Amino acid sequence: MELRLESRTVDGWTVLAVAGEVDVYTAPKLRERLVELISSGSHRLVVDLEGVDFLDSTGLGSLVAGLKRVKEQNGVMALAGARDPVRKVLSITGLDKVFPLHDSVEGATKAP
Amino acid sequence: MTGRGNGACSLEIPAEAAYVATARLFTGAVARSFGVAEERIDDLKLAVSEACTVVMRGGAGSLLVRAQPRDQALGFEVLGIGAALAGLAEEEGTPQNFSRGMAAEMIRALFEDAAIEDSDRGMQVAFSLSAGA
Repeated sequence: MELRLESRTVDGWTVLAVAGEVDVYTAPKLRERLVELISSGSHRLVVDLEGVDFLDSTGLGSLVAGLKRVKEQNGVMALAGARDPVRKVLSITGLDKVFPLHDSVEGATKAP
Repeated sequence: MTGRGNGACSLEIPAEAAYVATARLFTGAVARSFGVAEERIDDLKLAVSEACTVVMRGGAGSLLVRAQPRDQALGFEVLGIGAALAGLAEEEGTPQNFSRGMAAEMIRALFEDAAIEDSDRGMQVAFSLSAGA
């Protein structure tokens, strides 16, 4: 199972587009990329989840690890484009109140 | 994968992260064959995925995913079989036991009757979907 990760810059934000399934096998790859981006100075991050078909608690763990690191740098990390199954997971765990959530990358990068 | 005359199906996979996606595919296929609604299939796949993670962290060598129709319900179990040569390590940088605890809570949030047991025989996770749910 493949997890695709692509990063780009939009209006001073680093957007990490994630596509595929995020589970115990692929979550470490996501976490590694988030750590790499944050370590290299990307402290305004949007994780685009529109392409994510599945995300479980190990995926959440990777997102939380990224959030923790970016906050240590006084940065911000938002989630965008999460589809209903992913939103449900965020809601069950209460993490929908921890991460800024946006319907789109544009909404995230233009948020006040 | 094996099937039985009583409608039960089971899948045995190595207790390795790469195979958890196979368990989800099996779950989806079985659930569809029983006419489960698509939204609930997503819940079943999530619960089985979480259960596999929980059982793997208990040190199993392989996982048995079992689906069993019962009176007015479809039951799922994930059992650990044998012993792993090496445990599945917690991810660096996340709070201790974060993922394991969250996986268990996720299963319980999705299925009220979820039971997670750790015994001498290994870890076992069981839950069921009521007919019409």
